[in-house]
Amino acid sequence: MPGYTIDIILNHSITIAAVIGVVRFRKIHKDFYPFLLIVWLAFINESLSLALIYTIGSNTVNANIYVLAEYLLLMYQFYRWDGSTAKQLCFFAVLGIVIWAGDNMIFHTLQENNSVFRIFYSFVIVFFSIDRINSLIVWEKKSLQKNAVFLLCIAFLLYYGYKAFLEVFNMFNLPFSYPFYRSLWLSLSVVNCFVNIIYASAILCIPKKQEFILLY
Amino acid sequence: MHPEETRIYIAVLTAGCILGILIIFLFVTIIRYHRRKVALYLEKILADTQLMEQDRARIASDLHDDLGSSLSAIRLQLDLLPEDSRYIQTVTAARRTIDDAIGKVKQISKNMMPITLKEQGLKEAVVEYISMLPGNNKGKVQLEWNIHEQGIPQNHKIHIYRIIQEVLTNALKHAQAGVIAIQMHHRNNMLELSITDNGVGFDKRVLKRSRKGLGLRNITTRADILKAAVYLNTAPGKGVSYQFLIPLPPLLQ
Repeated sequence: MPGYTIDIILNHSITIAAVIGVVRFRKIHKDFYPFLLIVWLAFINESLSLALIYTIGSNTVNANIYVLAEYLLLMYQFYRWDGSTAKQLCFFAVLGIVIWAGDNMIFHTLQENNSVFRIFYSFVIVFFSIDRINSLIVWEKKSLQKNAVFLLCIAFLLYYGYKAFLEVFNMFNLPFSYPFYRSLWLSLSVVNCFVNIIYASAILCIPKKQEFILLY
Repeated sequence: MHPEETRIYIAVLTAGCILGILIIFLFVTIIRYHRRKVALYLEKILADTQLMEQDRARIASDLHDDLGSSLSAIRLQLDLLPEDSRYIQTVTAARRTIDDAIGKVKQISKNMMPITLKEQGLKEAVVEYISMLPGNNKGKVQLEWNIHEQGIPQNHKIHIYRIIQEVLTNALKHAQAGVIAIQMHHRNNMLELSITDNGVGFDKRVLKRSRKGLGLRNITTRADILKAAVYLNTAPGKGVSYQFLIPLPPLLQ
C-alpha cells in the first residue's frame, strides 16, 4: 500500500499546476489556454482514476479516453504557439484519431492498457517540442530560462520521451512479473512529478500579453 | 521481483537516467548558448545603431555647417546685388528658392540629429518634431507627457526619440491616421510609452511572414537595445496601438 500512496502523491502533483492555473487565469495569455485545459483535465483524470481504482478496480477506460483528449489539446496548443504548422498539426491530429480508434476499438478494447497510440502520440509530441525548441533558439531574443513555451517543451521532451520508452515494454507484453511493471510505472510517476513541477513554474512564467517579436 | 527482473529494471532505470541527463544537458547548453547569442546580437545592433547615429550626426553637421552656410552666403550675395529692374523678378525668385532650400536643410539636419534633444530634452525634441510635421499632420498628434527626464541616459533618449519618430512616420505615411495619441508615463520601475492611431491598421502575421516592414524592424531593434518589451495591437481597419515598457537603469528607479 505505501507504494500506491507514493504513486498517488506523485501523480497528484499536477494539483499544484492546476491551482496556479486557476489563480493566474486572468493574467495568462489566451494562447496558453489549451495547456491550462490539459492541466485541469489531467487533475480531473487523476482524481477519477483514483476513485475508479478503489471502486471498480480499473482506470483503463478513462485513461484511454484521456490520452486522446490530451493529444488533441496538445496539437491545438502547438497550433496556438505557431500557426504556420497548421497543416502538419491537422494531419497528425487526424492520424492520431485513426490510430487511437484502431488501437482502442478494432485491435483491442477500451478496457485494455493499449500502448500503440501512446507510443505514437508521445513521439509526435516529442517531435513538435523539438521543433518548437529549435525555433525558439533561433528567433527568441530574450532569455529562455523564463520562457514558458521553452520550459513546457523541455518538460514534454522529458516526460513523453520516457513514456514512449516505457510503453514499449507494455506493447510487447513481455513476461515480467507484476512487481516489475509496478516499479516501471512508479519510475514514470517520479518523472511525471518532476515534469508537473516544471509545468507549475512554466504557468508562473506565462505572460499576460504576448510580446511582439520580429524575426531577425 | 525476480533477481533477473531486478537487473533488467536497474538497466531500464539507468537508461532513463541517461536520457534524463542528456535532456538536462541539452537544456543547460541551449540556455548558455542562447544567452551568448542574445548578448552578441545586442552588441551588434548597439554597435550598428551607434555607427548610424554617428553618421547621422556627421551628415547633419555637414548639412547645417557647410551646405547651410554656403546657401546663406549665396543669399547674402544676392542681397548685395545692385537693384536692377531687368532682373528683379529672377532675383526675387532665386531668393525665395534659396530661403526654401535653407529651411529644408535645417529641417533635414534637425531630423537627422535633433540638437533640441541634447540641449532641452526628450519632450522638447518630440514637440519640435511634431511641430515640423508637414501640412495639417501636426494637428493630428496629441501628446501626454508625465515623466521626469532627469537621469534618463542620453543614449536611452535618442532611441526613444527614434522610436516615436518611426511610429509617427508609419502612422502618417502608411496608416492614414486621423488622430495619433502619444502617452509617456512612469509605471513601476519602467517608462511606459504608448502610441495609438486610428488608421487602417494591418495584419501582424502577414507582416511577420512577408519579412517586410523596415520601419517596424527599426522600432523593434531600438526596443531591443533598450531591453524594452513591445506590445503591438492591430488588425486591418482597427488602427495600431504600440506599448513599450522600457526598464530604467537601477540608479534611476
